[in-house]
Amino acid sequence: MSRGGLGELEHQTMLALLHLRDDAYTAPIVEELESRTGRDTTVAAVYIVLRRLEEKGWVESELRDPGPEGGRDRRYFAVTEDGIARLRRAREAYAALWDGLEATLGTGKGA
Amino acid sequence: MLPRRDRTLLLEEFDRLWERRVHRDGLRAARAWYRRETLAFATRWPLERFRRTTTTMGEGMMDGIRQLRHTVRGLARVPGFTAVAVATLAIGIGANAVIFGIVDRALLRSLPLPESDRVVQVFEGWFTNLATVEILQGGLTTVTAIGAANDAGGRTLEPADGPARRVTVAEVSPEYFEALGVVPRLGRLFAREESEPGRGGVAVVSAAFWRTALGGTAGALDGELVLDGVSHAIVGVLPEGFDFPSARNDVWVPVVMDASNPGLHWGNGSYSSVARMAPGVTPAQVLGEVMAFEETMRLANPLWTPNPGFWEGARVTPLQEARARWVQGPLTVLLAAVAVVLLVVCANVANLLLSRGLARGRALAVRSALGAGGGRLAREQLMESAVLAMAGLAVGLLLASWSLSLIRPHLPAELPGAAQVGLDPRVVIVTAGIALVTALIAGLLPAVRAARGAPAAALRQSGRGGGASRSRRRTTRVLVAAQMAAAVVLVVSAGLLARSLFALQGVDPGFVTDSRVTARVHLAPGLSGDPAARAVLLDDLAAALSRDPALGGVALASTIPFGSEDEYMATFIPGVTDDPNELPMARHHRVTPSFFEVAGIPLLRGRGLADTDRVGSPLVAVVDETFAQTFFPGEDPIGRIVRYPWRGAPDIEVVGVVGSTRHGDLADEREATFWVPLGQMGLGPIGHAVVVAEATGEPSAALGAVTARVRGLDDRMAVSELLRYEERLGASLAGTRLMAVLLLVFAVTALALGCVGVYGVAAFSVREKLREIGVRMAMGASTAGIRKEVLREGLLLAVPGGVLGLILAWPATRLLEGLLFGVARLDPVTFIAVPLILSGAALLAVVVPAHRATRVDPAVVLRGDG
Repeated sequence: MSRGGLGELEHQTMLALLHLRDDAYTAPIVEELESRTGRDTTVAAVYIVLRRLEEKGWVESELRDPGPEGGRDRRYFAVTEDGIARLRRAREAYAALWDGLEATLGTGKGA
Repeated sequence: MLPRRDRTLLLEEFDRLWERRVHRDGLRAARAWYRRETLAFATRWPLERFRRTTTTMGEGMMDGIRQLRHTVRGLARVPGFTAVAVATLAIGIGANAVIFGIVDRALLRSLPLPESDRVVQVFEGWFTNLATVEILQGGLTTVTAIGAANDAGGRTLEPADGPARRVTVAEVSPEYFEALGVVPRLGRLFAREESEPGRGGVAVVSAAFWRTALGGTAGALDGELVLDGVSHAIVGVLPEGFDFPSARNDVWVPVVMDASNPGLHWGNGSYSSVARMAPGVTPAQVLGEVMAFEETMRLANPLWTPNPGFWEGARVTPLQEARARWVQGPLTVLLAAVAVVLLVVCANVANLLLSRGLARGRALAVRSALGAGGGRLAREQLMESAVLAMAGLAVGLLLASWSLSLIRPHLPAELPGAAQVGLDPRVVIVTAGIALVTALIAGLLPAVRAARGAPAAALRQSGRGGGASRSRRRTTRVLVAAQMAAAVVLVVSAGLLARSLFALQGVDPGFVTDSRVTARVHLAPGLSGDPAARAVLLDDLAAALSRDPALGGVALASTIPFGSEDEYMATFIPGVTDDPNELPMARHHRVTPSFFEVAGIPLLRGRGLADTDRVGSPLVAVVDETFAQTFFPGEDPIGRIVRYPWRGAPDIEVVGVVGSTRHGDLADEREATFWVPLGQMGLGPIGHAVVVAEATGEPSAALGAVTARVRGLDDRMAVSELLRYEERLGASLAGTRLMAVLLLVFAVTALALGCVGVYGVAAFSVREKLREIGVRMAMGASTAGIRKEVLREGLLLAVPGGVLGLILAWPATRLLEGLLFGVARLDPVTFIAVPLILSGAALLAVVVPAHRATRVDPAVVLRGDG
């Protein structure tokens, strides 16, 4: 796996993080992914992807007090500037690839 | 199973998810989910961890390779520097590989025998008789086997096809092989009963003999060897490289343990004894037990009764140590010498790296300013010296393998393991270690400088490089001084050994060697034991040789000075000593009357030996001057009596005195010698005679004539050791010569490297002072003056190192003490000559920079383009 490559689960996880904003720790991330993609996902897979994204510098994490909810510190994840740039590049690449295929594949909404 | 960093966090999250799952999907589904999660973590996380480690390692490696490539490219850009550094390192590393290879075989490696630390030499440094060994065989409980072997002797081999030739045969007791623990490569060794009288008739052969003379097939075991007319069945082949008691042996036969012949059993003290200690026993314990048999050994002797205390000072020594003892001194000197060469090499390479560091100073400074840390720069510097050392290792090993093939034929046969000396894996590994250490030592100083602020200083400097850091200059000077000091120690050592060699070559052996040739003639085996027939044969032989026009005077002898065998005789001298414990040992030669004339040994008093001194006439002897002075000081030796040591030996009358000769080593003191007529005493059990003849023309023609005449007389007689007499003398100097040559090579290498250092500093200093020189020349300074100044500066550079070297040589030459002859350890000639040589060399080193200094064009330099 090359350093600049963006795997599918990595891609999805970063998007899920952006959706979750400030509430992105492991359990909600898994649930977010499951509810948005409709596929079962294991905590292990997501956790490993998060660690890899951290290594690549596209995601950062910090231990934080969960706030009014109470309980112990949790590890919250967030997408970095580099991560966002990488997502943008991915979207451009996909957009270029999708361009002209609407007739074949539909618009993607409610298909 | 869970990642350590987030273990508790993850557990909590699992709890949270578990509750939600139970709530959402029911307990069963939640359980299934939990199992899936557990399995996922158990399988995926370890895989992930493995991936992470390998990636990190791979990245480290890639980083290393990148740096390596960078270093190699950098070095390729400066081929001159790289070539000099690699060549210098190769010399130092190669020299160490050669000497370590020799030392390893001779001193360090354990003997190629099973549990070799249990094998000991009993009575180390002494020879003993078979009877003593037999007593110990019957009594010692601290050893599992004790055996005897005598040193190699020549016998005539009569092959089924082709002419007779000489082979080297050792007589060993069956227990000797047992004590060594040797396992035959083929067949068997000797059974104990094969050393009983009337048995024997068996032989084992060396692997080399088996290969070259017996075809190297298993069928050889069905064959036989006819040695001195006696047939021996070949029962076994020893392993490759087996060199006990010596590397010269072709064939081993069993000794005969014959107590009924006390003359041989007790009287022949030419055996060395080797034992295998029982497990857990120490040599001291063996010695203690041997000494408990002192009374038995003393009183059982039927020939004479040794005094109590006769075995005082006996030693039991590990065989490896005993074999290596005599080479330890010279090898230590060589090892020290190559270590010194290596240090000089390190200093030289360090200096080269330093000046290269300076040349790169600005580049480094820029990189340093851009954020490359000192550590990184130091690492790069070390990487560079490591790359150089590895290249030096490769070239050095090539050099070493080439020099070893050059040296190997000149190694003394007595050097343990000499034949196997080579670049085996062990030597290569140690050499690689040496190369790494070299890289570290040579690269350390430059690395430290790279890490410290040196680059910053370089940035501050003017682009002209006018004011190199003073501390760097000081470092360089110290390194050059160290090189010079080390070189001086080696040059002094080599000088002392060379002077010893010259002194040895100047020693008068006491006889003439010019145009004298020698050969060993092995009598026809059928004659063994028949004295009358032998006497006739010897007469015929002498007559046949004398008839040849290529030969002038001809003499025969049992043994000759500088021959391959020695004859000693314990001698009764009535009026001097009758106590068998006090009998002096004298050299003993049986010769034909013409011997003294042919060998040019002067008759000083009385008469020489005559043709009339034959069997039946009164027994006579001629003694040498040393014998006369030792035993008959101030008296007339003519008419005095000497006797052989055995009971009932007849009187022998001294009829003449001849000049003293050296015998086997030009460095030895003269030894008392007596000469008896060969025609009267016969050859005894010896199956060969030595011919000494004067060549009327070319020595090679004379040697050819000897062979032809002997064959013409009886083609069953083998001829060996066809040598000019000078070659025999030369061979006795071989060890000293080899040492002197090796040390000289090391010394010249060190001196040359030292001079390269001086040259480097002088050249650099001229470059630095170009402006100053230009100014002074513009002001009217003479070129002669400038040249003189540079030369003086170069010489001064060599002085502190030279002085330090002379001071160090003082204690260092102590190592050489046992190797010197005719020259004092602090020989004034050497100690005066060396500084002169050093100055000459240093002067030579600065001639070019001095010349360059005088070619400075003031106009150019002052304009600033110089």
